[in-house]
Amino acid sequence: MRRQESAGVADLEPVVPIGELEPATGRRRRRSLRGHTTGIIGTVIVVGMALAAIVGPWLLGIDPNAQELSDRLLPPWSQSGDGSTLHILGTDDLGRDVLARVLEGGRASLSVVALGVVVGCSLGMTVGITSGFRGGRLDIVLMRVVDAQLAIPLLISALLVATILGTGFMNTAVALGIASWAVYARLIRAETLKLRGLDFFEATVALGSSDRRLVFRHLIPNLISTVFVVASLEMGGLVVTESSLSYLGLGMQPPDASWGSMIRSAQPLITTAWWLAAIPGTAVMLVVLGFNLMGDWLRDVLDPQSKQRV
Amino acid sequence: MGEILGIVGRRVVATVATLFGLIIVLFHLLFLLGSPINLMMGEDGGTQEQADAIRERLGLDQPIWQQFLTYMGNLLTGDLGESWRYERPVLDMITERLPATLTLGLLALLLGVLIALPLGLLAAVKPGSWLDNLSRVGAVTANSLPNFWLAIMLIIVFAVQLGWVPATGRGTWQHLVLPVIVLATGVVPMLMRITRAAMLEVLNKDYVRTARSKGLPERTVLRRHALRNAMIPVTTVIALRVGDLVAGTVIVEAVFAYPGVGRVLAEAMAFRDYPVVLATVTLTAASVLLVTLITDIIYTVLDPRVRIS
Amino acid sequence: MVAEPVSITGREKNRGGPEPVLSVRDLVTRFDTRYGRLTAVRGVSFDLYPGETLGVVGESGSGKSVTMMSVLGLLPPNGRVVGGQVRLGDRDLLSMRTNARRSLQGKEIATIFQDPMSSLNPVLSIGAQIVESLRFHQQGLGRKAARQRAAELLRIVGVPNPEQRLDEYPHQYSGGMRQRAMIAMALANDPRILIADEPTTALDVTTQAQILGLLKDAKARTGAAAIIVTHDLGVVAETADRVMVMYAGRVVEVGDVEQVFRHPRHPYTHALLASSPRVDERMDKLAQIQGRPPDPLETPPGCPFQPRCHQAGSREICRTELPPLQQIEPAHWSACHFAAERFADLATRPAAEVQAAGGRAVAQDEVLRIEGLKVHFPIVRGVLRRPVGTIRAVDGIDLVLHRAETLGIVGESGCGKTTTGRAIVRLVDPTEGRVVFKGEDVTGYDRDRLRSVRRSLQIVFQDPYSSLDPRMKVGALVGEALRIHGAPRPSHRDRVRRVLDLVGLRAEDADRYPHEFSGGQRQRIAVARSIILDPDVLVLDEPVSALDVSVQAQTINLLMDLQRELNMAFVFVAHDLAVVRHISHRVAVMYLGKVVEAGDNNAVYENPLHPYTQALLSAVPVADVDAGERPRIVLSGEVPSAANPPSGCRFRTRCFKAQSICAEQEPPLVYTPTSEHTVACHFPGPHPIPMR
Repeated sequence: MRRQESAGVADLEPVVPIGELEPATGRRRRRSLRGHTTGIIGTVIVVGMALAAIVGPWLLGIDPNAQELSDRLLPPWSQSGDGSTLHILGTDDLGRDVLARVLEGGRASLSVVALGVVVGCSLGMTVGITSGFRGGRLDIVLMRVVDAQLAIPLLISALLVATILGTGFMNTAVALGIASWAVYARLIRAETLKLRGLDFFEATVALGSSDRRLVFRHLIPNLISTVFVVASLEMGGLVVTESSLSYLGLGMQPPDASWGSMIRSAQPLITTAWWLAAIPGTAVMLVVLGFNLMGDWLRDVLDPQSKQRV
Repeated sequence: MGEILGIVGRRVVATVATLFGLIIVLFHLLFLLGSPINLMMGEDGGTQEQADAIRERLGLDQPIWQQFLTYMGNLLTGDLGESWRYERPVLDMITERLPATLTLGLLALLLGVLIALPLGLLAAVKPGSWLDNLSRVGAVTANSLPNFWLAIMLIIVFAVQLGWVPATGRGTWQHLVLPVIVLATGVVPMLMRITRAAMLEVLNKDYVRTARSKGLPERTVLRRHALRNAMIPVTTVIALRVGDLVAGTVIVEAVFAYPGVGRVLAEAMAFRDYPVVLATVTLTAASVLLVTLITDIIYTVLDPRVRIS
Repeated sequence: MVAEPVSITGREKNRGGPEPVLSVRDLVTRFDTRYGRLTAVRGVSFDLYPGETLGVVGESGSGKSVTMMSVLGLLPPNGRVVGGQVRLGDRDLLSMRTNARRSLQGKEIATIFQDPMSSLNPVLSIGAQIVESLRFHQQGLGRKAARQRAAELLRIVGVPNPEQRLDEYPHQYSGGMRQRAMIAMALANDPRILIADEPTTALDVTTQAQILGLLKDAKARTGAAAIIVTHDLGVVAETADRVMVMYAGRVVEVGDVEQVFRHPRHPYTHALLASSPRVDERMDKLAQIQGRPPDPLETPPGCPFQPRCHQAGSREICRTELPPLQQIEPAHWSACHFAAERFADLATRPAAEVQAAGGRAVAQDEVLRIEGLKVHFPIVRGVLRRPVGTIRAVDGIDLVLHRAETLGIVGESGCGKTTTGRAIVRLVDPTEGRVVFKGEDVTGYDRDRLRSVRRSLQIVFQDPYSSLDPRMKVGALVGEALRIHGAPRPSHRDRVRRVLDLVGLRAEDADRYPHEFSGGQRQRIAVARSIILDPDVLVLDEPVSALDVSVQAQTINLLMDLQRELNMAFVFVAHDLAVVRHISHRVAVMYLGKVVEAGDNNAVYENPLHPYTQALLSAVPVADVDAGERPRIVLSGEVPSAANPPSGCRFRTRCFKAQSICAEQEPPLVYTPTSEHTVACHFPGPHPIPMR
């Protein structure tokens, strides 16, 4: 049945009386930059940190693993004993440059998280699309599995997988991916169901389209924005999880720098050298903040209806 | 009433089934894929005979299905097996640590809810106000703090520098202050956002407009018509946050050297003590599922649409 | 942006009657949207006199609902009244404090909203929601007494077993019952003014008739003045004393219903009346209003209706000066520079011989035959999806469709008409029965074999917003069928362009995305997509019901032109009896999964033999004040559940002719000795009171 315009707006976000505006204009207006500041800040942080992690070590030119015991525990902004190098963020208990190690750790942390997101995302998308598109008993079984997976918190799943697979770069990435796939699976399934219920989907079936075409030409293009939003929101959580793994000694291993393991080894020294724990922690916080701000922003821009959804 | 019991009954069965499936999967994952023996024998290794002896003693020489049946059989009698590392019953290890972790978790949840709900509601009633903006900035920041790092920073400031509370350990209420704050910080942001979003959504609903059109004063509209509907999604989120809370205790107990189940779990993982890993991970999942079950029941009471359908 | 004040001074003097109970002057309402600041109401003034019913009509975007919400102080948070006055008696509502103003609501002004499901709080029982209204405004009314009064109110509005149903929740009520509960709530404190915002839009036509009757009774009982906001000119013609027509945030015409409907003095009203199909009369071609309403964010000078006006031509003044609302005759105002002129007749009445032939002549070769079609859906429960029952959505129907003919399927929601359409194109699989397409039984075909059938058997959906993939350009959408069916690639662009031209879109539109188009244009795109392979049969599932009246006329005319040009057969599924009458050659009336009456369009509409068809037709409001008092058959009760239909004749539980045989035997769909069409009734025949 037809629904007429009403002044009350059922949707949460678009406080525009939609019925009043849409049919008359039939087009969207470009939005102003207002309200996008936090998103831009977030993106700048993320891109900045990623760039620093990629080219930073090369620009700085200090070997993150070079020990110089005479330069132990120098506070930030001190010269090395021989006056050759400025340790901008100080040195650790083995005389290694903290800035170089933070950059190196950022490279490791960010790439392992990026790989983890790719693993989790592809796994989750496959399950979510299969479940939502096929439906029936397969859907019930897959969703039970998702429920069970979601009952184990992200960090604990990651710990568990890392326990079984062992530590190291690849294993950590796989652990992060396996720990996080269920979130994608559930949201993608919900979105698939929603799309499948829309008329354009049925219209395409009625045109005689194959399943392949339905999935690849109609379903996936419409899922991309959801995936992007979820992935960027998940990134922050995965950065924290990765550093927690390393902090607990089940992530990437020393002597390779990683933010979590740096904090772990700094903990006994917190009374004497606060910067050893504070600096990598700040790095984690900045990156996570960046991803969170960026994710929220992407969600608002790409998928305004999902505002109320977590 | 009978309907409610029926729904609850079905949910209980589903929860138990999920948990059961989880144990099956976890058991096979750990005992098929993991190979703890080498690790247990340490760096210098040992002879093949020694390894075989350990295998035999732990029952690992038997086929996996037999191990599994034995495990399940014991489980039904309440026996969770024995820790490989400490050679003690797993059940004892857990029960003696559980009260400590429960105290921590429940206090943190309570604190989190007490902060998040009022803030979220107030922010929704006056969107764009200073309180709304402030709490939003606070939430985003808090959400970005890795809890172990926050814990260390709090220790530096409040335990080391100011000496107000002890840094680590357990015993007095002062020992609880920092861990509870850290855990609650993990709960508040999401809960607050959800409360705000749910309340905002409800305030835009037609039935709130109806309530206003009946002439009811705004306070009554909010309390009677908006709040209850907004609480429906919020309870679900509280349940979801419980998982994070459990994960949080693992970290927080490690940082504060607080003797709880979280520490048992972390240690067991580090030493590949699989019976303990299996039991603690299952316990974690069980607690999340249990809370989900409870919220489902609350949901059923709150929402007549679920109750009578 | 500043709205010109509208002068209606002198009205009070003119009427010389009582003081108005509600008086609105120069109301301006704005919304802050992400697209900019939008002025939805641009200087609206009107009076409401005691005891009268004022109908407010307009299409979406006209500002009719926003005007009412501004009066009531119920605007969404981004909306604000920025100017004007709203006087209730001698109080100025806009200058009162929120809570003081609100306490007048529910007591002096009561409101009935469009969608009774979303307008009732799902977690409170109906009783609690009525009692709350009573006890807030009547201090000292005890809990028990309030409850008794609530039950009394439910009884007044016709809710059966009121005592028991007080404790039920909104989702346990049917749509019609919910709206009754809404009305009970509005009547709770004997208001002086009743404002109903699209009160029947979400309801079926027979339920609409019940609710409109109920509103009339309620008004008579309380002596309240009422405002009915609606898009349906028929509803206004049948319920209102005066009518106010709105367009683009302004009042364009106000007057007594008889005057306005008989001699509209604004070209918009005039065109609107001529573009609505009628259930009681068949027109050859609907008048159509070109274009669409102006963008509320832009305000070109001059008359807002000028770009679409039939009468304006190239007159300078219409483009440069905003016409004020001026008095034409006693109690009749119009905002047109040329209101005094006689407007050209827009409607084309059919030639007599065509009407006699039952519309247009059609070839008699059959393209589609449905035999004994049943579509049942299992009702499943729990995680294991145990079937606990069956919904008999379609329960054994036969239909025949001839080449280049339109078969209309009408009925109320839940009658199975949409499922029938979907089963024809095999979006759902028939449980039983056969679908024979061009002599070929396609019922058992799997997807691969169906593909070849689908080239020539297509469907268009109701909602033009969800039926187009938002991520594809129009060209790709329209041409998709060509790719699926492997048409030679080089011809694609040409064919897309040709079909876009056919549906009245431009070739450049192929490179734009669906969201850049309005609802009516999107529906054209959807039609283009389904006719590109030149199908023999097109199923149209409520294709115009989401569109405004003026756009609806454009689309209907387009479809009829296409049929003539391409020799397509249509299965036209709709709930709107007037639209179906206008477009169909033959028609089938469905009730609860069965066809109750079918045959030639004119025969069924002029001489309905089934009691349900008679009730349905009598319930449709007609936008004609000269149609005379029609006897209205108001059905009792509600449509039974399709999971558990009544034995024998399915309509017997609500039928005024029902006898014991009706419960025992199911009447077959047959010709009666004297009829020209088939009917499934044990006692077919004209209604005792003549329909016209």
